[in-house]
Amino acid sequence: MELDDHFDLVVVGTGVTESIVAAAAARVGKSVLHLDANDHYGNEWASLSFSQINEWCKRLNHAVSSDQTMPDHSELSGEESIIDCSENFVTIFNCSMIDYSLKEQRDDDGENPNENRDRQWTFEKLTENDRRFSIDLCPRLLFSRGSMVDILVQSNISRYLEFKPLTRLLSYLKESRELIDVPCSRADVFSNKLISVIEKRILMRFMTECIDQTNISQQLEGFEERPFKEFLKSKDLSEVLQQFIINAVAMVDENETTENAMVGVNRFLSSLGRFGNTPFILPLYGSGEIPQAFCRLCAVFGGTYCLKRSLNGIIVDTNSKVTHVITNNQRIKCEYLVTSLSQTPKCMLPEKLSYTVLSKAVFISNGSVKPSNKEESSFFRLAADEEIDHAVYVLEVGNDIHVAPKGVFIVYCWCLSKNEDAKKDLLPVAKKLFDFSCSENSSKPKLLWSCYYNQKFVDCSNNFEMKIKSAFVVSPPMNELDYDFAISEARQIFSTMFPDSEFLPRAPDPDEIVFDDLLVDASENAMH
Amino acid sequence: MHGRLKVKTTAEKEREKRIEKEEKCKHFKAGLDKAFQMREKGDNQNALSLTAPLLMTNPDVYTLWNYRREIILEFKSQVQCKLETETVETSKNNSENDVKPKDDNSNDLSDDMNKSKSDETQNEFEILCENELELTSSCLLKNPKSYCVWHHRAWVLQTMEKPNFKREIMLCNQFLEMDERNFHCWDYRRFIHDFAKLDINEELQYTLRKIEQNFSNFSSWYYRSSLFTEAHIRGVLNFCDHWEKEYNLVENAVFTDPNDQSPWFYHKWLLATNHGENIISFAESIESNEISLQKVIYDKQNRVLITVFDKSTINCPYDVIDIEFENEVKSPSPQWFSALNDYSRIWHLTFPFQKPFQSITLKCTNKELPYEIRDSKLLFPVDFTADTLVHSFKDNDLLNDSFERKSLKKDQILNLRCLRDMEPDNKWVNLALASIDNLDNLKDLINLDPIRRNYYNDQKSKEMCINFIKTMDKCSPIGVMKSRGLTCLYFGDALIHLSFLDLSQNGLQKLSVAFNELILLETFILDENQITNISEGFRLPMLKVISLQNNRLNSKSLSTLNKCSNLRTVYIFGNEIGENNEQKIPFEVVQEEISVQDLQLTYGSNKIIQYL
Repeated sequence: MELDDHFDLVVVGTGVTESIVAAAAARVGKSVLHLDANDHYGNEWASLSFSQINEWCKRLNHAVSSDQTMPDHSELSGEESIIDCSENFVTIFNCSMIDYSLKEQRDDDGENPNENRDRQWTFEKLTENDRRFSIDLCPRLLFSRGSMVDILVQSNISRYLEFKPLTRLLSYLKESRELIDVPCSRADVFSNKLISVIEKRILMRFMTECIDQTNISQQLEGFEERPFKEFLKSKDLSEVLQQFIINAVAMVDENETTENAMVGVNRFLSSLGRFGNTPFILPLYGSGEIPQAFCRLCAVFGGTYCLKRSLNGIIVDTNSKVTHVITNNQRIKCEYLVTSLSQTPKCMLPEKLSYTVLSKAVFISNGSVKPSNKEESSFFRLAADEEIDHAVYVLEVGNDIHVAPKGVFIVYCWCLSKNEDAKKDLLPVAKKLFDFSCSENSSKPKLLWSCYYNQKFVDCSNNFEMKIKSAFVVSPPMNELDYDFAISEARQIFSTMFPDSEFLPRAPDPDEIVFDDLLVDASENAMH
Repeated sequence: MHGRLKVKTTAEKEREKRIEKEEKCKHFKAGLDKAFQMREKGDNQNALSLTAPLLMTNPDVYTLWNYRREIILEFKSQVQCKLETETVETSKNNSENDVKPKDDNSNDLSDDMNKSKSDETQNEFEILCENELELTSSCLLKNPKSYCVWHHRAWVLQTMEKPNFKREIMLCNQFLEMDERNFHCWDYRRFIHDFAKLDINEELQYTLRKIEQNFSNFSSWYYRSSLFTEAHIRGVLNFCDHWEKEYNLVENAVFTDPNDQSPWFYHKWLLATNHGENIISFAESIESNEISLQKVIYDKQNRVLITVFDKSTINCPYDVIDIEFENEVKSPSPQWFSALNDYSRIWHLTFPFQKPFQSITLKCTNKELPYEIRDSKLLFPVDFTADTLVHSFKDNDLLNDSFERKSLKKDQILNLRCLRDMEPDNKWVNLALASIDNLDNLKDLINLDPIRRNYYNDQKSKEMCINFIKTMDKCSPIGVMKSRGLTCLYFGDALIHLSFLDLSQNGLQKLSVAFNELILLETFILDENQITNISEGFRLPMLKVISLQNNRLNSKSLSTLNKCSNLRTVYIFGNEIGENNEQKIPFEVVQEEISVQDLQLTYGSNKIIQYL
């Protein structure tokens, strides 16, 4: 397919940050070409089906040799030079996939095989339910008053998405090695059976005090630099309540300074009471829906989309400014180029990039880590202990948000990596949550499938002395819960490119849109 | 360029909206006019289908609902008419058949036909009602808080032959899911429950679920309390077994959010049931239709007979019978006077018989009363050694209830005190403690919640009155409640026997009808109060002397004392009352100051001096 020869902006990679930039540009009338080398939207932020993620793992382990052809240099004028796009920066590595599911038993004895099949999740049965899975490469929770919710509402992109509140927050009690519910609303506190009435009052008091900013800043005096735990002790909070607040509310380590911890507390509290019982909401069908929603807005405002399409070359002029890109042997003029790090030619980047490594894991299991009588989605933070080096975020989702078939749960774990070995970092977590004993009567769920991988995070937001101008490199997903970093990076790129334009103003609803031809008809009628 | 999108401007959108609204308005008005015309003409054909869409647009036009009810009732009476004629016809047929040679088969057949025919007619009516229910549910979706729609639905349900209560409860569940505090829907749910006698345990479970979702829901707490009362009365459960659990529930709520008033009301109710033991008397005293005599007081000196009932009544249901002439009442029975203007618990008469007697007989006469009288005839002996005779038949429940301090378990009280210490500014916990702990909490409350200081002062006065009644010498005609901070008088019926009452140095602001209960009072001392006003209805039949020194009365106040027919002297030193009073007053107004001691000495009758 022949594309237009000129675009204001070419975006490569359909991750969240790139998609926000693309949508914002198209929304203010810029022409946008949006490409992605993958056959699906989302890049490292995608949601994949069961077979897709299996393929994804395999592909990572057997690096496919690039079949890109070098563009023809003869088209270049004397003042232009071309950047080779054959080798891109790699962000995901060290992927190991383990299939625990039962193998289909051959029905030799003439017994009814279906009976067994219904109860047990074999690999075949998982594959049969392939389309029911939406497995996030980048699991996220949205704070109800966080920046992503704000931007979705402000831009009216929320109309393309559906959400459900996270149903429960959990807390891991070290002593009893069990997960308990964290009361996070007034109703939760009221019906909680684990804490006494006096504790309830102390907890509610503390929370109300925290909401009153002027009041709490006075009380914090003297504690700012001291560990958060000391501050909590001074408030008469019992040990259990302290654990609740440190891990579930502030989501920090207990030695974190009170000042930093209170940032987390405020963020948590300000998001309470907007949508559900917890301060978080989750997109239905996986967080891969979020970049797609931005792409959709971009397309509605005239953006052009091509998947399975990558750059063959980037043409820069003598000032090292991007003037054209070459894709599929077509030379396309562009004013700006935005590329995701994983789809950026290595030679555009500095020799040495400083990065941090995250360890991530996806577990598919046959039951919830804390069984309940209704469909739940759960989140908790495991504090570092003898077995875990860094605190681990754990999110369990399932049929409640339509990302797995009934009875099957997906558990995501992620943390900062100590030794660049995701499996070593996260296997202890799996052992806490799942049953590895193969015994029939364990209360813990059994693993059906798992995969571990490491991901490099490079902060590209200051664009490290880019060798070429008018080009922006976008950071991969960082270790955060919501999309704050991605949004601020997208906003920064947008305002550098188009400093006078509004960032994602409200998009009109369909009934507010009139097409020019209709208007012409109407005015003609009026004249007669 | 074609197909390019363009966003409508706000002005365009507003214009569109305005036109749409005007169109709708015009349409609605035309429909309404037509419906009213039809109603006037009595032309009811298609009226139901005409008014339905109007009500869907605006469910709150109650006239249209009334119109529909008229039509439905008319239809119902037609159906009944039809059914009756059919039965008449059937029986006619049958009687004809009797004469004819018997043909069993044909007889059965015609019976069946008649039956199915009447079923059909009946069905038609049920379908009409079903449609009505459907209409109300779509109107409720439009306005879930419409008084007339909920009322209409309840009416239809009562009019129907076979209402489906399960569906009604489902409907309530649905609406309470949308808004758990929709009290219209809670009202309707209670109506369904009363009407259909639903499973109490299921309903209790439901209220619990709603409370767990959001305990700031007074409707749910209230429904819960009335379900428990009903269950206890019907013997479904013993509330005493559930009290502890309920207390625990409400305790959790008040500790979670002590500023929410809904659970505190439930807390108060739980306290009042006294661990569940009083749940019945509480309910009974409100609901019972029976009236009974609590006590009779006879004052020998004034020959006044006073009856006190447990409820207010429009006239005294008894007559006094001269025992010697029981069967032939010679003199016309004397007239009873109400302590208040008409409705009153207390009635008195001046005894007609001069001669000495040993007993007094009260007999229920055939007065038309909306109550049942417990005892149709009462006889009690007269003790001639006492000046004032008090004969009690039944305890005053309200007073008895007040005598008992509300009790809680030790740890429950400790928890409440702990809550008060944590939340010293919370009025609810102080109020709860005031009812079980002591009166000091009321003082705190006046500072905490000055808007309701009069209420707290009255509560304090109530406590004072109770304490006084508890400790008073029941034979003494003298009552002294000096400087107790009284703002009003409670339980006047327990003080009827007093002929001398000293309420000086209190905070009384008004001489209200509440004092009218003191029928035998002769000397009333109210010095150093804040009285600005004497109520129009204030009337003490035996009052001879009243001292109102150092109050805030003005010249107009005195004339309202006219109704006290025996009043002789009024002391008004220290008020803003001018010298020359043009109004004619049948009593002496004394401007000079007089001490209480002098008053006692001057006006104390023998029996008072005896006690002084």
